[in-house]
Amino acid sequence: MINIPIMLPSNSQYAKGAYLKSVEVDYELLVAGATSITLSMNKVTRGADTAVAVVASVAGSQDLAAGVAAASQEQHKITWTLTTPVWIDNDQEFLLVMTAVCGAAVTIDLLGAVANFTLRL
Amino acid sequence: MGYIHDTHMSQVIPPTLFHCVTGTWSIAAGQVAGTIVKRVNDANQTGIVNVPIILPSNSVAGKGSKLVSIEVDYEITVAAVVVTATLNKVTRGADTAVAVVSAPTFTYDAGHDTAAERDDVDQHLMTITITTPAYLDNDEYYLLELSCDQAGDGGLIEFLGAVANYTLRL
Repeated sequence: MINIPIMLPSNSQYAKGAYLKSVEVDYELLVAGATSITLSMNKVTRGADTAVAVVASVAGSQDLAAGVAAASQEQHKITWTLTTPVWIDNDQEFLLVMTAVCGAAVTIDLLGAVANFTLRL
Repeated sequence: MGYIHDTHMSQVIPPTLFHCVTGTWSIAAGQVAGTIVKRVNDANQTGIVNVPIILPSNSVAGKGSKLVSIEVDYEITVAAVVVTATLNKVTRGADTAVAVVSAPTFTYDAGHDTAAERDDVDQHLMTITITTPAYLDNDEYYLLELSCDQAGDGGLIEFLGAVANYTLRL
């Protein structure tokens, strides 16, 4: 399981800052194909002092099928799109979670990720 | 021609960017499922954790980012970790020259201005506020240094991340 922190500017005012729309991940499966590559997203609302953080899953979908196109032995660019884009508040963090189910022979090379957003200042 | 002066900007800094020196540290799952942390634990050592403050800068005076405060989210799960913050402002060296480090003054928030408040077993949101904020030049950057003194004990501290609050002027 790979957590990819989404490092965008946020803003304490509503509807300002970054409006997160999608995240692209570049990776390569070497040696063999995987069983599945599945993306999901967590929104972490930071805890106040003495309080724990609260995690909620964010609805969205990936453009490559988890056990088919996303899992082949190949270079991949997969896009995860939020069902409802969100303005990022200053007490929120977003993590894209990449879950790779693989056989013993598989090697994954992660090249990086790109977050697509609207910026309003 | 547009002009932006936004005093409400923030930048999250994930724990994966934290730079650790000395002590034993690891990337781990947080206490709350779905969170990630940088975990620092070991007896009889002082772990130094540097938080790089990743803000845009500008070569023109009075433009770019003016760092105002930094919030650090951490949890002490095993007692007796002495947490002390130092803010380092690094002025990059020219070619063949060393970098120069200064220590801008800051204040802790009221809930963390004593060692005992910073060190108790609990979830923490600690805020340090820069006494004299300044726009960041393109040859400068900040590191928030967190000293985690675990001498003589087996303390455990988990950093969930940090948030830099700044004014953006473009």
